[in-house]
Amino acid sequence: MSLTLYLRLLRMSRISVMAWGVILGLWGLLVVSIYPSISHGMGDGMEGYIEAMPQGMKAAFGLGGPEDLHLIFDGGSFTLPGYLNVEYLAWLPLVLGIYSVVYCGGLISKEYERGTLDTLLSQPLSRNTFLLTKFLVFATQMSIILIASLLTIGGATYLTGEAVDNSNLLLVHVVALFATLSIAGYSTLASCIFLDSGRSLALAGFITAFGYFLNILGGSIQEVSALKFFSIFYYYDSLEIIGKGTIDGAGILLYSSILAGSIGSSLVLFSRKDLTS
Amino acid sequence: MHYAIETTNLTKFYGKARGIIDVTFQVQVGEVFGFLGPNGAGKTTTIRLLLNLLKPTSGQVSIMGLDANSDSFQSKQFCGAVFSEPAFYGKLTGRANLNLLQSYHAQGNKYSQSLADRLAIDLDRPVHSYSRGTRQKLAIVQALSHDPKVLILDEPTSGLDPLIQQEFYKILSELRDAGTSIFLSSHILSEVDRLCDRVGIIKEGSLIELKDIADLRRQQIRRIQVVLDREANTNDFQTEGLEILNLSGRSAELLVSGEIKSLINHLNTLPIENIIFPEASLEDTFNKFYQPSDVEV
Repeated sequence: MSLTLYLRLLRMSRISVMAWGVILGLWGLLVVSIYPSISHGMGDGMEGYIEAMPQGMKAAFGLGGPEDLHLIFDGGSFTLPGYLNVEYLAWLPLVLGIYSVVYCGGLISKEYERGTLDTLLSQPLSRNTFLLTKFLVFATQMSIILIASLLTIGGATYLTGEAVDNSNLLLVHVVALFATLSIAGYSTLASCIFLDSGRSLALAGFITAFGYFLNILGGSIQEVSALKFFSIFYYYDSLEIIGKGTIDGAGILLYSSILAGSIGSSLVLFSRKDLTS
Repeated sequence: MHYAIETTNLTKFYGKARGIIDVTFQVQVGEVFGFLGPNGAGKTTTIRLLLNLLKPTSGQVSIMGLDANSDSFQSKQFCGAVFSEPAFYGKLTGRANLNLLQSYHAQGNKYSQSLADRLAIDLDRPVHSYSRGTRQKLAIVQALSHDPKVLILDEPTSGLDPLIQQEFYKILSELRDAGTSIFLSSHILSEVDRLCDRVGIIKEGSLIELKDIADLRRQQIRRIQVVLDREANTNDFQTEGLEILNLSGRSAELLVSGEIKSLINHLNTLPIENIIFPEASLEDTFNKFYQPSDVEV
């Protein structure tokens, strides 16, 4: 890794990282702060409302089946972990996935299009070091954003006196980080394949949107339920983690494999790529 | 003994499209080598192969004896490069860009401030506020500030104003005197004429000429203007080695090549009032090489 490049790029991206951290933090803060009024005022109605939802919409909210409702509602009222999941945690990989696609889809291709890749690679800096440093900058950004989210929610629940298991909250964020990094991995690969930010963004965006669609489709229609297993979103079960503290080991393995496979392929591809002017 | 730059049968194809074919040359340590050719001839392809930005289809390229492909990390430690369209991080100042790029070299930013002063560039402004010429100046500073042994320059003076161009030529002369090897790709023949010891001419992907600049000057095509004491006509100049460029009244502008003695004998037969020798230029000599293949001379 090139430490100078790492620190410089991290510093250059500090405003966008801060903005994403603040946006996620405010969103989480809003969810936690309105929880007391929602919990007691709307619990009964909401349980019925959610039960009546089509299965696909439930899947979008991170709800698998009837057993999941017990994690969300307790005696007709929302539980905080359940409410936090429906309103915030279930959306994390999608929201951060969009950030990953946009950032990593241009990880190499934007540098190539701007011409800065020529300037950097005409120095004694290997292509592998450059790619890994840039990806590490992204992983650091994502970690900072998720730490901001974790601290805001943890702090807000502490201040409002509401109970949520902090270790479970931490686990959800860790799994969200894995899920996001796997999206970032194939977006980086797309960036190396095309060296064209428009096309790489289109491919990575399509894979992400299609994966999300498969999860909803597989969760909605019994006949095609197997489709959901092909979606990376299926393996992010934030309700299970925040409610019971259980992590899907297969999901972590899948995310790690996608990440390792994508970055490994990106390194091989990028090191052989012709960088024409 | 190794060369500063050596290419052996260097070939690059982009799919089926020709890049360069079997390009072989050596640049001696301390030599200034001019690389000339029309647009699309393969100059930039060659430079990008030297810097390992492109992978050769076949052949070898080495810098200071190190393979520029397999040992590119080491070989680039010796190099400084200026591209014709230099790019930097626009949000960063010139100085921050230099600090980043020079961090990869042992010598670091040794000469950046003195070079910036000589080229009149404010390093504390963000690069996005720089003009095209100022970005070019920054590219020159970044290429030179770590005191490279080998300089690879692709149209380095494009966008520079004449005063800064002169200062840049002075810097290059100093580097040449200090033993830096320079590979200069340029369209500007006067700068090649002024700076280079040897010249390679590339045309349609192949190296067609490799000569000392002194030899090239000896082969030089000359331009002369002859004024007669009567109306000039085309029959007056029908002899080998003479080409009429322009006939106007008593005056004829001619391109002269080959033996000068036969020219003098021929001119002796004409009622000459005056002969004018415009400033000598290599341009006409190079133009001969640049002509398309179908009108090969």
